[in-house]
Amino acid sequence: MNIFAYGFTLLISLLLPLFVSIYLIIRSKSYFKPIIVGVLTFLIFQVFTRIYILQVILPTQVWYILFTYQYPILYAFLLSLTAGLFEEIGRYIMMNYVLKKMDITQALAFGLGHGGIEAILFVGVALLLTNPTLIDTQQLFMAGLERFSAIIFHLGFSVLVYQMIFKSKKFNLLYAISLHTLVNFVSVVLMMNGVNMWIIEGVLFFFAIIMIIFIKSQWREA
Amino acid sequence: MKRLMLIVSILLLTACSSNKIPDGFNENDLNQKAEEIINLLNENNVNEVYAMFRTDVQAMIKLEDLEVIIQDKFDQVGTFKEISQVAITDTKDPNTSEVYAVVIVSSDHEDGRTTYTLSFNKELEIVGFFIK
Repeated sequence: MNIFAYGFTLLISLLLPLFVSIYLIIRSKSYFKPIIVGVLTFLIFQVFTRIYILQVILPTQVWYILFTYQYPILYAFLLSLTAGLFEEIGRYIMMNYVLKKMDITQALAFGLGHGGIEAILFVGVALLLTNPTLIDTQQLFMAGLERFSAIIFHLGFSVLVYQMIFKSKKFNLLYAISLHTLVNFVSVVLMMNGVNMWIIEGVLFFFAIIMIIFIKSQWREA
Repeated sequence: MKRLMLIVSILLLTACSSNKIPDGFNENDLNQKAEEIINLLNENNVNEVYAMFRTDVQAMIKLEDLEVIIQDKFDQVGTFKEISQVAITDTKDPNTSEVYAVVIVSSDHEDGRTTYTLSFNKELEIVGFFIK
């Protein structure tokens, strides 16, 4: 069972993003730039800015640590909001000023690059460096399920932001930020209240299914 | 939106300034204990600090690993100068609901700053230790 969970999570968080990206690039060179820019968007706006601020700068500030203890719900909300703001505005900047021209399939390729590198860095690489027999099977499986949902969200948010820039749907950036904040906030609040992790992953998976339905409907329209 | 920003700002400012001493704890005792710990660490007496850890917390980390973490940090920030800021608040163990006091200490060093988050039970055993 552990090998199955390990294989599943490795597939979702490393092999799938990697091989689908390679497959798309071989199929058409037009996917190369969106995938790479998606990867860069995550690195620039998450790893080198938001995560740096949250994990390196702020934890040395007494007021910040005090705030996390005294206002945990507000803190969870602000964490979720900053994730939405940094990632969605980052997506907007990179699509609008770097890619400039794209269709919905390239927007999905962008989302794959963004969500794929996140899965590889947060889970895939860690899996390769850890002895799988030391990881709890359920946690292993949940990590894979969570990354699957997260990649779907990145695909959906990329479509929303793409539509704002290239299809004149002017509120879509706001929708993407709000949805991103909501999804993160709901999962963090459920976690803080000791809700079973399978239920939390189930809620995220449910949101991901809705996102798949949304993506399919937009694809048909395009 | 302006009102929301105002509420958030007020909450942040309130959080910045308010100590919250949990019932059953004494502010002076907590301050003294935290200062004692910081001094011991700066004198390289990590084993004495480790002895203050509650038994189950000791089981989570080896003394040798703690010594490496402390030494790595001190190598980065240099010689200790002074404690610059202390704040106290409370927290609850999510499993046992036991209330702990959390003392956050910021200390200045020659080449940087160290921030400790120390959690204590009522017997003033260390139940949480973070260094940043």
